[in-house]
Amino acid sequence: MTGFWIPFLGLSFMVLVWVISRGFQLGLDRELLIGTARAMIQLFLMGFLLTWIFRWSSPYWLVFPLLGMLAVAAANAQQKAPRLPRIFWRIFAALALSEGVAMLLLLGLRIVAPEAKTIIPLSGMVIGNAMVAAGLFYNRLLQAQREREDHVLTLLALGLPSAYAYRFLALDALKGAMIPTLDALKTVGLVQLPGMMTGMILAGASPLEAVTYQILIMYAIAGTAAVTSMALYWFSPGYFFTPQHQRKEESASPKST
Amino acid sequence: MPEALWELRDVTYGTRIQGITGAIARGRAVALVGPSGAGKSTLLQLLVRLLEPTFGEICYKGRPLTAWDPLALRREAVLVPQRAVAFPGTVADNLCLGRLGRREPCPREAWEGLLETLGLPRSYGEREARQLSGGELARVALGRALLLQPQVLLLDEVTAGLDTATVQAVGRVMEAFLEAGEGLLFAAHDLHLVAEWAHEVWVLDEGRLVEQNEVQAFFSQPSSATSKSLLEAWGGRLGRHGP
Repeated sequence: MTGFWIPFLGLSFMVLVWVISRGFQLGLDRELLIGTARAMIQLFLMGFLLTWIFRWSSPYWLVFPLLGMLAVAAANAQQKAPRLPRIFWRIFAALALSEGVAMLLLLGLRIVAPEAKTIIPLSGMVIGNAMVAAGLFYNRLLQAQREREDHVLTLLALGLPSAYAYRFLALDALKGAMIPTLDALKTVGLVQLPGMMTGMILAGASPLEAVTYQILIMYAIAGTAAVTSMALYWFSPGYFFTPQHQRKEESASPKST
Repeated sequence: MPEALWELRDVTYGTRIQGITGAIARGRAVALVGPSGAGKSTLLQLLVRLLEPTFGEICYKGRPLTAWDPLALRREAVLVPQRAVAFPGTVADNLCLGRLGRREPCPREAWEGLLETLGLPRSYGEREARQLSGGELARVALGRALLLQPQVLLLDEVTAGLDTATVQAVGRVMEAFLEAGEGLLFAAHDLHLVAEWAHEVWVLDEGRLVEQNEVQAFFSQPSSATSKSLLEAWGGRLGRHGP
């Protein structure tokens, strides 16, 4: 069995979901229909788009699809911290920085060839994971802000600079954003094979060949998650503190007066 | 009339502080009293520029707060916030926080004697700060400020709801500080503390300064309705639990 029919035959799995949803009256019909359709449409569109892009002779044109990927990822991560103004551009910059570092290493060390068919999928993985790290970072940071309001006030009242208070607030967020990729390194291959590797093996690559790329990807992901979180750590103190070493009012609002 | 530490002119902060004008004299203990939500904490934070007035002006030692380096100001006038918190590490780490954060030395001699002043055993220095009780933690928070050797101390209800040992320790510290320091401001619910330590009382209600009085006059002839109701509530409590 080859070609375009595979996903349509794969729909039989979605029939299973539908039967179970109906049987237990889960009311998931709408979700099911939208999800099934979107997955197929989005991925086919992406397939056609990539086929077209991969024919480009010069890799410099890849800047445009990469900018598009960065924008979508930044918009997605932004939703974790919707009330911080102009957060989109900071996340965009952090993602662009980590993508830049990743490409510099991958191409500079000649680990992969400068071709669309390597750059685009690798960038997708790097940016996608950096996006998760960015969302996680802000999620943790805003949580720390709520939980450590009194700690921050205490540090500032002792006359310590806001940079000190920010460090106390944000170090855990920085750590928290880096842990998932490091945890993933510990268990990869033990329970399930990562999607990329599975795909390569199904497409006929040898398991060892698949593994070499998978190791590369995992390390690249851990590195870029760290770069992203560090960049956001640098970009964000202005959300929480004024130049006069005060808490920003939207973050201050002391509960009692 | 002694020179003023703080002068406030029409100081406003949103709806929480509304048009406060007054002066806090050097060398005196001033108590801020008033019902919850009256603006006591906000006023204390405004005085050390942890908050910026939305209107009006505050001067400290004759200079507008905006002309002060906020860090230098908060080194001279240290605020102890209402809710005492533990930072990771030992009690000694917590006491030394303000100094170590500035990369200043904090030798054992500096904090060991302080533990005694605070009514805590010397062995507490090595204890994990997170294990302390609320009262002990409040005393450590006070010690944290004292180790910076401030000229003025601002205490925000540091004894609220705490045990007698803590209240007594805080009282001892306040007494010692009044002799050496340039000024003491404290927000208090407990009028015992006010009667014992304050020279002067500022009564706040809904962000306004409704009475500014010498302490004897505050207790004997309160001029505002807020003071009268505060004293009434306090008298009532004395009637139930007092001698």
